[in-house]
Parts: sequence; C-alpha cells; structure tokens
Amino acid sequence: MSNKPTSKSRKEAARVQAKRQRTRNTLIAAIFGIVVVVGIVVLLVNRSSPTSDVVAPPGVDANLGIPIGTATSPVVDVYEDFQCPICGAVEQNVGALLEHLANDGQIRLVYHIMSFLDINLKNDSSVRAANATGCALAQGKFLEYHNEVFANQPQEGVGYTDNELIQYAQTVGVSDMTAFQQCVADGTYDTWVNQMEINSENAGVHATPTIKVNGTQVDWGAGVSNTDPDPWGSVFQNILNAISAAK
Amino acid sequence: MMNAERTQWLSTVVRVALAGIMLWAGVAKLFDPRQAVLAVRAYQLVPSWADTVVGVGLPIIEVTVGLLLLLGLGTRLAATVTGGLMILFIVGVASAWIRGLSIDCGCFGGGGVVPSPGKDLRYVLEILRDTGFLLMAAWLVRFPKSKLSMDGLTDVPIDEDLPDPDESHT
Repeated sequence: MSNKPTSKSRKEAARVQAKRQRTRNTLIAAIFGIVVVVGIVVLLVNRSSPTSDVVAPPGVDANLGIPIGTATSPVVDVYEDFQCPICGAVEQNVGALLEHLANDGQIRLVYHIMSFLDINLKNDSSVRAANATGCALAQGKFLEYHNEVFANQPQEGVGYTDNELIQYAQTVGVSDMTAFQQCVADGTYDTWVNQMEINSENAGVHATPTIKVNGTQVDWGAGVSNTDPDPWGSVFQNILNAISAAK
Repeated sequence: MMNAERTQWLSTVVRVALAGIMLWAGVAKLFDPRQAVLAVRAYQLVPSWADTVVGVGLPIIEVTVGLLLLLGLGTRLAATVTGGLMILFIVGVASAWIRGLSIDCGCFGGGGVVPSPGKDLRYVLEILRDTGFLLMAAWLVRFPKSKLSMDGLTDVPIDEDLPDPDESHT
C-alpha cells in the first residue's frame, strides 16, 4: 500500500477485491448451508426413530403414568425425577399422605417419572432408575420400590449404580430377582421412560416436582421459602386444600 | 500501545479460542436435538411451539460461527453474531436466576427445602463466563484482522464501511 497506485490499477484492485468479497460471501453461505443440512438430517433421523413402539410395563394407564388406588377422582398427578433432591424431600414429607389418600379411595394418585435431569447432571441415572421402577412395577412392587429409591437418594449428581438399583429391589422383596436384574441390564422399559418424559412435557410439565390436582398445578412456591417456619406443613395443607376444592 | 502485528496474533488466539468454545457448545447440541430442545424448555423463556425451532436453530448458528471463526472467514460478522448470542445467554441465565427456577426444578444445590447458597454462585459463574466470551467477541469485532485467517489469505478488507481500526495504532 506504500507506493501510490495509479487510477487504473486502483480500479483493477477494486474489481479483484469485489470478486474476492463475493467468493468469501459464497463460502460463508456454503458453510452455513452445510451446517443447516446436517442439522436437518440429524433432526429427521431422530424423528424417524419410532416412538410408537413403546414397551411399557403392565399396570400403566393410557397416558403411561402409574395409577395408585381404585378411586377415579379427583386425579392427583405427581411428576418427579429420581435425581431431583426436592422430589426426594416431597416424597419424604408428603409422600405418605398421598399414598394414604390413594389407598383410602379418596384420590386417584398417578405417578409420572421424568428423566430430564440426566441432561442437567450429565449422567443416565434418571432413565436407569425410572426403567428399574418399571421392572418393579412388572412384579407388583412399584410403590415399595419407588419409595426405596427415594429413601436412598444420593447427593445430587452422584446418581444410582445398577447394583444399587438391584439392591433396592432385594430390600423391598421383589420375588423374581433374575428377571429384575435382566430387566435393569436390558433397559427393558427405556422406551416407556422416554415416552413418559415426552408425555409429561406435552402436559406442560418442564420442572419437577410438580403436583397437579385435576389438571391444576398445586402452588407450593410459598411452602418452600425459607421464611416459612413449617414449610412442609404448608405444602401439605396446599395439597389437601386443592384436593378438597376438586371434590 | 500495541503494534499491529501483535494485535493480529492476539486476535488469532482469541478467534481460535472462541471458535473452540462455539463448536464445543454447538456440536453436542446439533447431534442431540431432543436434549437441546429439552434444555431450551428448562428456561421456560420461549413458547412451547418455538422450543424445537430454538433447540435446533441455536446449535446451527453456533456451529456455523464456530467454523467461520476457526477459518477466520468473515471474522467480524461471526464475532458479532457470537456476541449477540452471549448477550442472549446472559439474559436467559439472569432471568432463570431472578425467577428462582432452580427452586422448582431442583436442578441445583444439595436438596432440601431451603435453596442452597451454591445455586447463586453457579448463576454468577455462568454469567461471568458468558461475559468473558462476550468480551472476546467484542475484541474480534474491534480487531477482526488476524494471522492465519482466510480473511487475510484473500486479502479482502474485512468491512469497507468501517475504517480499519488497526491503522491508527501503527
């Protein structure tokens, strides 16, 4: 650039520059195009993987949730993830109440086991634990097993090993341990777990724990604030109020 | 005052580092669209019909600007887009923080009723990290000329509309 260009060479330079600019823009567009195509292909491949071939354990309802008790209404939907610490706290504090109401024929309790925390925590424990719950359900031990898993919930992020999941089954007295172990090893109900997650999201649930009474989410935000002297008592009361309002 | 040569080498370092960050963030999401869509949903910022568009569109943009930065092709454009994304991410994280989403989802902290103090720290770190990336992008918008770049190879002024900021330093 130090030697002063003549008007002619300046024009020539401008022409070459414009041409290179076009080449550069074409290249940028091409790279963008390739990435878009890759993205769309991956999306289509994922879409085509069948969600219709869901292998669900016996005893789930049409929406793939796990119903407890014989009552038909009001419906109390509980959405939880085995790796969600507050779900563990909910189970510890109000789980027995819900079970009691369901067994007493006062509510239809439906569990929806979600597994999105695997993404946040970068492991696969939620899916494996949920599948194991399906294995227990197949042997008529859903509630016992579900409670045992939450009772042994590790610190968030540590997850569950297959051995631990099998140990819990032994503790709650699953009769056919060979079948249970096979079921855990094979991930027999993984498709059910995935579809249950998708169904829950489609029901507008993107966070756990979530409790709905006849489709209306129980507001317990105030119940888990640290200014409430008896937070779980408030949660307890909120749930009871929602149930009696729905009756 | 830094000389032009050193500025260009520094821009190269910033450019390649930022490229690595964008590719790392984008490629994983691009090849796992279902998880990417779930991650978008967790922020509860976009209506549910837009989850898929954002979940698939975002990694496409990230990977594209990552490749462009790596090649040093259209550096200023790519850096501008990157900076815009970082501002979006910071807003997203801040809004999740303000809305106290972690309390609902139990995503962070050691559990229990009282939100763990670690949650706030995690948000602060995420915002600081993204702010750092934003500064890197801003550097490249200001000093897009760099060594070992395709922009340099084709010897095309990076943006004729704007004066070349390097000239004043030489």
